[in-house]
Amino acid sequence: MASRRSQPATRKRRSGAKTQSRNKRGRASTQAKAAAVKQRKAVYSRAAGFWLLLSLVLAGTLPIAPALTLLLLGGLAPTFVAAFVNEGANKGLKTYTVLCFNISGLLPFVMDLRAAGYSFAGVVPILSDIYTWLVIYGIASVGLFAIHLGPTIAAATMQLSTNRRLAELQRLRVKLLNDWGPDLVGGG
Amino acid sequence: MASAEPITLIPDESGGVEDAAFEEPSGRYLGGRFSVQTEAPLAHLDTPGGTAYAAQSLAEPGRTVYALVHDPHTPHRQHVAESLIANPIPGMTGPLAQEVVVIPTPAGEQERLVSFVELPKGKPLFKGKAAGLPMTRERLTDNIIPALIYGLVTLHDRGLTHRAIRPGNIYFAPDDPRSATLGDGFSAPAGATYDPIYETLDRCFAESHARGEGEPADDLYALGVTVLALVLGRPPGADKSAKELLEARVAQGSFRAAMGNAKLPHALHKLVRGLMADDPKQRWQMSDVLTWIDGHETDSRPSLAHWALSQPVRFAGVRHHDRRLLADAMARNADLAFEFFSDKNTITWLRSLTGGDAVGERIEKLLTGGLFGSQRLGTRARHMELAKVCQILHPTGPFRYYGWSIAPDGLGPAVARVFHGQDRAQLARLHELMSERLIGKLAEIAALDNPGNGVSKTVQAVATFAGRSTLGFGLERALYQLNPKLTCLSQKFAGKIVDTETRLLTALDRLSEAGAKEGLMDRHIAAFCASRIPQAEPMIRRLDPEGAGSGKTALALLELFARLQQKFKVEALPSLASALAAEIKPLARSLRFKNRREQFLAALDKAAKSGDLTRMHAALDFANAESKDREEFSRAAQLFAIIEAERKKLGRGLDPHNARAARRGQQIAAGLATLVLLATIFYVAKGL
Repeated sequence: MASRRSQPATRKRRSGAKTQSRNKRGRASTQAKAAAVKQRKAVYSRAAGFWLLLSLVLAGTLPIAPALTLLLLGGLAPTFVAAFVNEGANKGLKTYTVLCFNISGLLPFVMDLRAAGYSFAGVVPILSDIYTWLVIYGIASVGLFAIHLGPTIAAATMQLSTNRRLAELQRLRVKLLNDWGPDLVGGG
Repeated sequence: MASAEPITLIPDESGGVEDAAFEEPSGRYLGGRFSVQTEAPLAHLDTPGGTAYAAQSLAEPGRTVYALVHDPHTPHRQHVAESLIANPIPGMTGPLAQEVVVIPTPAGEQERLVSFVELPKGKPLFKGKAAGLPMTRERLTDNIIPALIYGLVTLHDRGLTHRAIRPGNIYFAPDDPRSATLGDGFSAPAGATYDPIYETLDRCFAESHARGEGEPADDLYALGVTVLALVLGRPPGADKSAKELLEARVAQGSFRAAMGNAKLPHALHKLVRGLMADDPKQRWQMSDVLTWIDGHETDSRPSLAHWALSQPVRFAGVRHHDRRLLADAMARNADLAFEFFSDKNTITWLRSLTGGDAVGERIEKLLTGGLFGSQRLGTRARHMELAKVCQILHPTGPFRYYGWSIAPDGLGPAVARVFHGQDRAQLARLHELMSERLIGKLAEIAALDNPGNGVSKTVQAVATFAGRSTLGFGLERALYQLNPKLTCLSQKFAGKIVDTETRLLTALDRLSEAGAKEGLMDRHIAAFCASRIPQAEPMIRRLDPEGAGSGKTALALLELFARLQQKFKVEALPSLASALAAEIKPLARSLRFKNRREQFLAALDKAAKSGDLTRMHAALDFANAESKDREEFSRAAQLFAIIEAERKKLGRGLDPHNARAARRGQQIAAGLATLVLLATIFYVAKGL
């Protein structure tokens, strides 16, 4: 058992050593790797916090207003799905975006339920109305759309500044070549 | 040499100014003082170092002068000439002035140094080598000797010697026929005009052009012989052949040999005997002569010389009793000497000659055993060993090598003579002689008897220069070091007189103007500069002999010439500056920064136009510019590499999957979601 348990650790060390030897930047690469691990840990802890908070909210409303809990469970389904499905570095942001849109879609119906005194009689017509789900999930889907559209918009915006930077670099390059001649290309 | 017109004088570097008052009808002269008439040679005034012509003083038409045109290849005694020009000595002939003159020669018109000398108005006491009338004791003691002595006292007080005291070079004074004037002693190598009898026994063995500057004692000896000749009315020893006379001098002493059976008045007998003493320690000094002139008696000094061999040595069929004659005979019969020295006991014999074990041991070390007992030595090495043996036999005598016989202080003219001959074999032999392992050793042997001998030290110093083959050294350096007033013999200056640093720069400027295709430097010019200015040596070392014409060489030349121009305050040299600038220009290509390159070229052009080499050198400072350029280029290359890397990275473009874009996009989406949520909350809250 002990040897089996030590195998992954050994493998890890070996792979680490290989990476170090392969990578010319050595220490810089190790530092980047450590930073990535740290970031991943932070994401995990934030995700855990999110689920804990949501569980507490649901657990808190269950004894006071079970109808509200039922509405929330059904209404926040896109968020739950997004939280499960989303991966990668921006998982938290994506979940947050869906959550915000999801809540925006859900909030008017929560207000309707509040007006009905959080009773099961009040929640049934809401839950049984197809329009409710269309609104809640439609608005949540806008969130998903924003998640997909956001990077494209950001890339386009960043490309503009990159072009400006490229022009500046080109100007500098031409000046250097003009001052120092073509020898500069090969570094003398 | 058959020009009928007066020759044009060109101004010296002090800048002779034309004076309209002195202008001849032809108007062809500069300097405004003298003209030379080459159609009227004065052969009787020729010397081994120059040719005499009639001349005219334009400033003082009543003054009778003659022009002595110096042979540029024969070192004359310029230091004596300069001293006499600056401070003439009454009763002694000296130049009134010296000018560089363009003279017609078989090779065309060429520059020559010309000394203008007052023409002797009286007749010489002897005409050439012929006899004259015997002179009375009274005339000698009352007029001639005091006149000569007072001139010599002044000359010796200046640290100079005359070295041409003989009856043929003494003239009756024009204003007082009872008195006398001593003739030219500056235009030929020291002692070159003497018959051997006028030279001391140490110097008479040397060749006529290599007898050396000598000392006042040599002048006094010659004076003794002169007085004897004047009393006898004929050259002393004229009844004997040169060889017989030399043997008689060695055997009986110079005085007795020269006297023969003649009788001298008592007073003169004492004077001549004192002056003609062969041992310098026994010979009268100037104070003794002055005491004698005052009518007092002078004590004779005991002789310490010991030239006699303890046992006669048979060599070349002759029994030799004297070491000096033996050395001379061996030098003249080298092959017989080699046979003679094949006996291993010779070293013991040589040690016995020196009389002391310490000196003997030193001699043993100097003689590296090459000559004795070894048959495998080459001829050259054997001659070298023989030269050392001859020097041991006659330490105060000349250096004897391969038939040459050169007084230690007569090396300068001897070296100049070999250079003038341009004979490769002779030059190679001179190279052997001037090496430290030969002439250095010979000087060491010569110094054994006379440790304070300054000439030996000079010779050893010159040997160290001669032994090095780099630019600024070698035989050329020895030539100029030993002849400090010699004109530069570079082929580039053929027909020109380049005897000063100022004239060197001016000649190089003219050479550049004519388009010097073979560069501005050669071994002669480098050696000339190095011998004249000790600070020039490190600059000459930076000259690359292989890279003549390269920019770096031109820069080193610029530094050297700039230093010379500054030190000797030479006027602008635009042609030389332009020629150097043309050679330096390609160097600008190595400067990579465009602005710096342009600034360098602009500064170069500006400075070259001014002809001021000092300013040009200061303005360029190429070493600093090059180092700065290299440093800045390295930084620019680093910056360029960074720019290229960033351009490459940015050139790839951005896609939505790019991490940064994705993050930013998600941030935008999250921001939008927050806004929507806040708006909803606001709307809902408002509806409540």
